[in-house]
Amino acid sequence: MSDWLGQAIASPALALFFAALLVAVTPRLLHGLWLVGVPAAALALLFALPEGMHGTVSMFGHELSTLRVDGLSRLWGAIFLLSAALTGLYGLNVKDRLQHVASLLYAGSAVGAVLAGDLVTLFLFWEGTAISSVFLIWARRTVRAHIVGVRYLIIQVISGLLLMVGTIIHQRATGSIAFNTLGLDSAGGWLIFLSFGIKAGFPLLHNWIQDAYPEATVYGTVVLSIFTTKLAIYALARGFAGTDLLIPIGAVMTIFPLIFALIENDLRRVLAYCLNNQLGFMVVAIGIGTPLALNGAAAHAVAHILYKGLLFMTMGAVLYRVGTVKASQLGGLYRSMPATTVFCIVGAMASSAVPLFSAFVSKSMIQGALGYEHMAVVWVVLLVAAGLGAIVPGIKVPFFAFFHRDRGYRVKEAPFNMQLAMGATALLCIAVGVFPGALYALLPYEATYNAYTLSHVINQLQLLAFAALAFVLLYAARLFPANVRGLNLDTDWAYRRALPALVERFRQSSVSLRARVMHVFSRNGSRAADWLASAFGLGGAMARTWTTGVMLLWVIVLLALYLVIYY
Amino acid sequence: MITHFFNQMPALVVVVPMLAAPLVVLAHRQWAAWLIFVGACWAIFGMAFLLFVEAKIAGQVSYAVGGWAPPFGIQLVIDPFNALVLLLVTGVAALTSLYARASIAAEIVAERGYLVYALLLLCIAGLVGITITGDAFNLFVFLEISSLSSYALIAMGPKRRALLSAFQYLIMGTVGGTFLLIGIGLVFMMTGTLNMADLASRLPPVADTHTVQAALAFIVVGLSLKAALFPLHVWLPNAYTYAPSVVSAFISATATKVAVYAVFRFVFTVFGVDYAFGTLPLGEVLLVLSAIAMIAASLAAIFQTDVKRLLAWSSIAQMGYIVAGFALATPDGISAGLVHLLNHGLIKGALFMAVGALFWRLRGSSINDLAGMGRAMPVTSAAFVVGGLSLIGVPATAGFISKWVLLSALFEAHRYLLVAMLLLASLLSIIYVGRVIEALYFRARPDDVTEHAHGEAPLGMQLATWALIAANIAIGLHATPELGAAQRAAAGLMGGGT
Amino acid sequence: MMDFFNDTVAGLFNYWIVFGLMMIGFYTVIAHDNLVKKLIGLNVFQTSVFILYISMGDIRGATAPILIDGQAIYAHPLPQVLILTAIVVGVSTTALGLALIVRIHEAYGAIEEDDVLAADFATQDAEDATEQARSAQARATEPHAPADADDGAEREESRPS
Repeated sequence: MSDWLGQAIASPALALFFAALLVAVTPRLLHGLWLVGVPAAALALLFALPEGMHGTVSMFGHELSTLRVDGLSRLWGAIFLLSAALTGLYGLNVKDRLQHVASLLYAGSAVGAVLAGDLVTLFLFWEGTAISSVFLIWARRTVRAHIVGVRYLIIQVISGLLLMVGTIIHQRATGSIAFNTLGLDSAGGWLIFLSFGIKAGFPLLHNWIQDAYPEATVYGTVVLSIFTTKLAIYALARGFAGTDLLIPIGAVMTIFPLIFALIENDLRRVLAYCLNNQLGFMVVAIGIGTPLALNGAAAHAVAHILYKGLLFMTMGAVLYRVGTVKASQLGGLYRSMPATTVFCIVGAMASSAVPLFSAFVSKSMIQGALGYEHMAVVWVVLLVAAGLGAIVPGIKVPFFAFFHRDRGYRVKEAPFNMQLAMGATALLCIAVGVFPGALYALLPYEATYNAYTLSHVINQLQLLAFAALAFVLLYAARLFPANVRGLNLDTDWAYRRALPALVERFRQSSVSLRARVMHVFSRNGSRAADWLASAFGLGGAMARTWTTGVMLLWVIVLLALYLVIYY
Repeated sequence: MITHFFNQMPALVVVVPMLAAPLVVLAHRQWAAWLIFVGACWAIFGMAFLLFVEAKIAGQVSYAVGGWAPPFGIQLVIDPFNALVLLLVTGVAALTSLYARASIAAEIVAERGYLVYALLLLCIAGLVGITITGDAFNLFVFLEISSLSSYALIAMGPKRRALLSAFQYLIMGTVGGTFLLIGIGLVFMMTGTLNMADLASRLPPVADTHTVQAALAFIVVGLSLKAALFPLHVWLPNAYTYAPSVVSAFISATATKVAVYAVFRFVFTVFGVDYAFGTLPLGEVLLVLSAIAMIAASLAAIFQTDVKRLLAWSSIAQMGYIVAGFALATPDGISAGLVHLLNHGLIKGALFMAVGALFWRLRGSSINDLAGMGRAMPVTSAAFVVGGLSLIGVPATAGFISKWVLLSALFEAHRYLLVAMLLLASLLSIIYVGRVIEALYFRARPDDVTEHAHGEAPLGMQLATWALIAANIAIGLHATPELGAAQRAAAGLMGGGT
Repeated sequence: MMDFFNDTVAGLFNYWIVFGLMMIGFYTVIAHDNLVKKLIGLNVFQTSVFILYISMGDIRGATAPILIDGQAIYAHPLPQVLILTAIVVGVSTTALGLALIVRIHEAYGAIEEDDVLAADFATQDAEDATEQARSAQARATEPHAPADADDGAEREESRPS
């Protein structure tokens, strides 16, 4: 009877793909069913699947296992499906079919990647997340979103290509494409590591997160914030658990995005920086690699998806109603959007790890694991990051958006479906914090942990109190960093300013070089130079039609080349 | 009777389109001409399929034209290698026949429409002939038949620039053809035979002469011209841009592919792998040129404002992929090159057909013309998107299979620089495909658009486009048969001998 | 010295003619702007190849390959047959080329490649300018579109009304 559960057809990812197809062809009235119902049904399907490797498919000479169900993949699959349902609810009022299709394909690819039992399947879905997600950015339908989208896509595809090349090398070296612990012993391992690192937002590979997420649509940003980066965390946990290199990488990640977050004006970009910082906690935990630490990474991923999603939802609601999320233009919205304000505060408290909220029970596991391993320096770094994190997203976002100076916006409260989604997510944030046992029971590894010890609660409350005090003092003394208008370029300066300049320089010099060469070779040197001068305004050196004579010269050159080489 | 028909099939594949051409001219009327065209195309597609199966079972099908025994008479040979190319040419021809009616009616003056069908038939006959002939001189004749008809076809384009494009193509093509003729003459001089299999066995004793070396150079350069291998590609962008849509679609999917086939038929079967790639450094030269082609042409494609021209440049880049695969001269490399040869034919055919359908509606093919057509022509635009994704090499499309096997082959041969080039080129392809998709879906229709610019293209055009797209997806999802066939072909080529 | 002359210069004199003609033809195609002259050059180029074929089939003292009683030695007939085909191809190419030149003359009023190309470039530049203008216009109508490159310069969204 349950034979089909072992087949590839039983993949929850396929259910989401099918839902995407349904959304594309059915009238809008039914979309709620597909956007919320199908992910929920797929969640049930995921838990019905027996543990182990299933869904074997044969594809271009590889035996692929498309369904690997174990503790780690089930937890990740479950949170992805749950959040797919929640974001589906959040986006119900969006009339744009394209965004719904893209988000379902995106969620489906992410779930498929999490369940992948081998590197080729992982790669297929990995590319799927890249291609489908870019439409959520392009769907904003501005030139700017298009440019950002292309940039985002290229970085995502580079990650995919690295994974592909790494997989080929890995397969040649080991003869296997199984996706288990890979390690950094070989070139293939390094390439795959780099590929995961790009999507996980490693320092210097992170820019795409802050670049792209704030440019997507209201709905798109919420969806984007959930899947790609957490998928990379999953892949790291699966392939590189216990890799020491991850600990310093993660530690740097926890601190330095926050500095940009402090001065950033666009509140969705602030959240994107903080997202990056929270990924650092998970990366550190994976680097430690003990069962407790990996459990911490998993638990924090769940908590993080919920509260970060909630924060992005609230900012999305603000953007939807007000039309901007620039800190310098917002303020006093608590009057007109009280429910959204409450949800935002819940999200902020969850992200600051206030006791009884979600991050408290997960982040402390990572700190605990660090303590057991006696990594004092990293422990301190993470503590500082937690304190800063409490100031930046915890206080800055709700404060500037909803309180601060009243700018006179009198807008409507967020649409009902948005409120519903935010409310449900907020409830989950609190539920995880209040009843951590339920989350702990789902964690993949054997390790007992209790977040609510007296010392831990007191420590955390002290930390938060200091953070709040610091904010108040800084703000009162007008020392709180001003919100810098415009974009903050960090390392993406290299490809957004330097590279285009270099390319332009190269293009011009190649044009003039060709002009000079033509001048020498052409019978009518001056005439050729004349038309060259007029010709290269557009199109570039290559693209212009050549005279037959020049074409034939190349024929002769090539023939001569062959003859010379052969003789 | 039936067996008789089966025995004559190799000749019929060439003869049917060739005889149908004058019939079309005699029929003269648009619909009658079209019916003959469709009938001939589908007939040879069916025969090609049967031949493909026969070649798969028997290993090789040989046919002596006029009953003259092979080394003396002309021989037609279908082996696993050219059976695949034959299938591509006839398959695209069959779909083009469905596509042609509406497209030609819209772009060509009514009283000249039948001439397009006749010329297309001649072109098909020439390409099929090149593919299956086992005789070197016969290959030259078929090459000229297909070339002459394609010059005329390109000159029928609606803009006056089509004329100079066709003329330049004529000069270049004739020079290329004459080079081929010189090369064939030189090997004939040394061996006294024109049959490819016979040549292969008689060349080794005289291989170490300058005459044979020069022959290889002339043949490779001559056919590279037809294959638009960088830097002999310059005729191609104009020719594809200004030709009528149906001609662009057919020629882009087949003509350059058949020329590449011919290059490597000579190199592998006649001259032999060891000679061309061992004794002489042909592989190195081709690899360098193809690497430049991938990058330079992709860069040029990014700057284009016209979608047809953009696709033409991308074709030049993709020819680089194909040649790189073959030039590795390893079994993996050859099968990867062959796989991409087929897949790229399907991809480019589909993309040019989709653009042709948009042109049918818009009377323009610049990227700005396409703004907002995603809503106005959803089916055609979706076809373009899927084709574009396949061109980039997104998983679950044929382009991905090509990319995967090419990369595997390059790794096998330790050509890491080429791996990097190929990856870079595929990133560049994202940019130029992205530009078109952006215009289709994420820009508004200009306000001054007249209301006639709405509604889908005729059924025949959509059907042909989507058939090619479906082939792309089918290969992407289930590539095993294609890969198997390509590996058989590669094994046959490496073994030497037809 | 005499041997060298006999073998290489006189002995291979047919090949020297072939290569001479080939170069003349090729040079004409490359160097002349006039499309008709290009076509003539192409013909000379092809003719040289015809001679190459025919001369390779010749045997010293042989007659034409016609069955005549008493004549045992005759030239290799195959190259001549092949070249008959090639001549047909050449003639068709010339005819098609000339037809194209007539059409080009009708459309452009010129048969110099430079002039025709110049006219083409003028058209193309005008089209490119139009396209650039249209792209610019499309960008201008977009909300907060970047001016030229997306270099991260200041762009504050306007306050919604």
